[in-house]
Parts: sequence; C-alpha cells; structure tokens
Amino acid sequence: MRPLMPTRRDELADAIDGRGLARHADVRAWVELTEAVRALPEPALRASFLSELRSDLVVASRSELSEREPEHRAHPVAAPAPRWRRLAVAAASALVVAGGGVGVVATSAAALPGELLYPVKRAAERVDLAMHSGDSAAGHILLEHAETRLAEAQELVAANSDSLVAGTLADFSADATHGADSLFTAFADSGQPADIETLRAFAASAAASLDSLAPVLPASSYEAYWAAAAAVGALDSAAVRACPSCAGGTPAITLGTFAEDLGPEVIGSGRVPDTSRPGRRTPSTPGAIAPAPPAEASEPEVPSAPLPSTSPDPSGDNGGGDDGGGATAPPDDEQRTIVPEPSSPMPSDPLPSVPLPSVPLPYLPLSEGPVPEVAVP
Amino acid sequence: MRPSREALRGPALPDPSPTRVEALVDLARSGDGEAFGALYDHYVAAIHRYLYYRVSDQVVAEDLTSETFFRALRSIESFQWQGKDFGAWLTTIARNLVTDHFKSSRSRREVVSDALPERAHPGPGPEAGALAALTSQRLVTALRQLGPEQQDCLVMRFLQGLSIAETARAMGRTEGAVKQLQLRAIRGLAKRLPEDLR
Repeated sequence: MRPLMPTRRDELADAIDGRGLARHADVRAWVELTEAVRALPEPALRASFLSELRSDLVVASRSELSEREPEHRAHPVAAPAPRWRRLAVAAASALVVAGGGVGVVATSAAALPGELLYPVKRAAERVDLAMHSGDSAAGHILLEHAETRLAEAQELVAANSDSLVAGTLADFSADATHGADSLFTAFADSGQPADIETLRAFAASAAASLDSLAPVLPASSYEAYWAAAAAVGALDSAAVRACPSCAGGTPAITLGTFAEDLGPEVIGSGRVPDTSRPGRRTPSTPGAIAPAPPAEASEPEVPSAPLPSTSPDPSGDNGGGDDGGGATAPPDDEQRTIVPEPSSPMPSDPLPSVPLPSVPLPYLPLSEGPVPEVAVP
Repeated sequence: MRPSREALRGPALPDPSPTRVEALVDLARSGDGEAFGALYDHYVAAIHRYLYYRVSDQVVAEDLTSETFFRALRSIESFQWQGKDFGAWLTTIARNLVTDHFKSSRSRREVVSDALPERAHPGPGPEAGALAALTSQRLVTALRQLGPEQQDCLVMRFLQGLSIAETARAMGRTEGAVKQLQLRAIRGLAKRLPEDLR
C-alpha cells in the first residue's frame, strides 16, 4: 500500500501553488488555513526607520564596495547629504517599497544633474543597460544615454547651472565612446550595416546638438566641449572607415564646424581655415574669451591630438593641413587616443585665463544632403 | 596609448534577458551602491515581515532588519548564488540572526509576545471586524507554539511569500523536505486552533 502522507504532501503543495484543487477535505481545510496566515496583518514599517537605514546603507556602500570604474563618476561623490535631503530621497524609496517603484523611476526620468533624483535616473539607466545583452543592443542603449546627456547639458545651460555642464559633457563623451565601441564590435561580428548607420546618424545628430550649444556654453565647460566634439568626430570617422559604403558615404564630421561657432577670438592665434560658407554667428560673450583648463589639472590627458601645442607641428600627424584645404578624414588610430576620460568637475569661477593653443583645422563642409534616417530603438 | 577595447567597453554585460532584480544584483556585486539601494527597496518589507513574525517585537525586528542588510552589504561581493536567489540569501542571513537572537541571554529574559503587529494605518480596515481580529490573534498564538523550523517555513511561505524553491534555499533543505515541513506545520497549526476555526 502506498503511504498516505506523501500523497497529501504533494496534494497540499499543489493546491497551495494553484496547480489543482485538493481532493481531500482535510487538505482543503489546510489550504484555507494557509490563506488565513497570508491574511495576517502587515507589521508597521516606520518611514523614518526605512529612510534612515537606506541612507546609512548608501553611505556605508561607499567604503564597503569597491567601485570598479570610478572614472565614470563625473559628478563627485558627495559627503552624506543633510538629513532633510536623505529623508526626501528615502521617502521616494519608501514609495518603491509600498508600490513597486515604477513611479519613482518615472519621476526621475526628467531629473537633471544636481537634482535629488538624478542618481535614481542614472541607476535606472545602468539597470537598463545591464538588461540588454549583446553588443548591438548595448551600443544602442549607450548612444541613447549619450543623447540624454546632451539634452541634460542643454537644459543645464538654459537654467544657468554652469558648473554642472562640464561633467555632463564628459559623461556624454564616455557614453558615446562606449556605445560606439559596442557597435563597432557588433559590426565586426555581423557585417550588418545597420549598426554603423545608427552610429553615423547619432554622430550627425550629436554634432548638430553640440553645434547649437557652442555659442551659449559657460567658459568652464569649453574643455569638456572640445573633448565631446573630438569624440563625435573620432567615432564618425571610424564609422566611415569601417564601412565606407554605409549611409551613402557621407563625409565625416570634423571639428571645423564647432570651432567656427566659438569664434576666432577663442581660437587664439586666429588660424581659422578658409571657409566657403558664410560666417557663423560670433559667440555671445565677446572679448577675451579663453577656454580655461582647470586650475588643478587632475586629468593630464587632455585631448591633444586635434589641438596641438602652439609650437608649430610640421609632422601633421594630427591630420590637418595648415590651411585646412587638403585634409581629408582626420587621422586614424591616434585620434582615438584623444578620447578622454571624463574629467573631474571643473572648479567654480573665477578661472585663470589661458590662451588656447592655435588650432590648425582641417575643414570639410558637412554634406548638405539629408542625413540617413536611422531609428535608434 | 590606445585605450584597450575592454576599457572602453564599460561594465561587463550579463547573460541574455536577465530580470531587473538579476541585473541589480550583478551591478551591486561589482560595486554599484545605488543598485544595492534598489535591492534594499525591493526586499526590505519582506525581510522585516519575516523578522517581525519570528521575533514578535517591533524594536528587535528593526534591529535585525538593519543588521541583515549591513551583513548583506559587507558580503555581497562574494555572493555566489544566482541573482534570482538574492531574496533567499537575504532570508538566510535574517534566519541566522533570529537563531542568534533566541540563543542570546537577552531573549531568554523576554516574554515572547503573542500580540498582533501594530497596524500601519490605524483605523477601520478589512481586518477591523471583531471576529477577524480574534481569528488573527488566535492564529498568531498558535503559530508561536510551533517549533522554530515549522514557524520558519510558515512565515517564509505565507507571510514573506517565498516559493518552495526559495524556502529550500533559505533553509538549506531540499524542496521535498520543505513540502513535508509545510504539511507538518499546517497540521500543527490546525491542531492548536480552537475547534471552530480549523
């Protein structure tokens, strides 16, 4: 005879988990009892307990956890926030506990650097990235993040939050570079033009955004701006080289476009290339505009290949002719080295005024033709 | 110096289609404090609920909840289980703390309370009916009379909401053993209830 108990064990387990109704009356009674246990009241969770524990854990995580990639943190790790601020963030987190958190993440989507929910926004981006595997998907997500950084930079400029612009542009450079690298890997594996086309569309759109930002940038962000422009130029040239037949073979974006916007005063010795285009608008802050590098140069690897020192550099390994006439695509691998690490936040005003090194600029007009529309998922 | 491909790639990407929790665990494992914060948000209520019903005291439950997460933080970088078992891992930590608590001299002097937990929102609610309150009270009293393993099983399964697999993980038992424990615990609970409530 089969023992009775195992049968009831499985009958009970199945009924509880919804895999069939209990046959025996006693099992049905037991299932009802489990429902009664489930219905016992929730213990009260004090909001202050929850919030203080959360903030204590986050503070402790800074010393307990070894962050592998600190160079991604363009915004500095702040000292523990004042109590009201901790409670406010933790109250948002308590919403997560109570209701699932979607609301907090959604609310954070519009946050800007410096705002309370900005870390939540960036954390949500990291989760998003971690949930997309494969180089192509990751590359697309990273380019989306880069575009978000640019939009944030534009909003920061509009809101006069000058000190935060540089870090945001640095984060843009990092996301754009990482995204490009993933897409190059995907393209190398698959040979499908779509990834390169996405990259070129991104580059064109980012170039246009940077273009529109240039006249209104605060001085403290000029260096990060140059780095961002260089990064976009570099990834676009690399895309053209990787797949010359993709996207109709549009010529690569170069720095000439951006430099013009900052005006000859900024370029120092005035080695502005000839242009066949009408002059662009001058910067809104005339006078001795000099993009000032940070007083404490914590990041020695300032992008230097397209911005050589004032001493004449005849070797031309930055790819530029003196007159900007004969140069074609910017040089290859050297240019990739100039993609900088995101710099630490710029010191606040006033900044020492340092003349910008002269910039021989290879110049190619951006193609007037339409940029191929590639939807970035 | 040309940056290496690995350096430019950024954080390593996990296997295909991980859930959000698994993604958070991977991030927290590699040092992301915000990800750990998000895991805390996800699990703190369930852990607190387990602890409350095991130790019957709000203050102790809060202390042990705090201790559970600090211990988790300190050892997360060596967390070896799969991301989906993170909740079970937290429960293991909490369970060990409960065992230590009952072994300590402090708890021996305490009278284990049969009181129901304070309602989060005092006032009339679905459980406000006198009969329902009475049932709950008797249920909690009966629960307290069970052995620690049976209490663990019932609290984890029906108050914390762990699956058989997760409960097995948390208790270090096989799934078959947990099903057997579940049966014995429910029968034991039923036996200790007044006749009319069984």
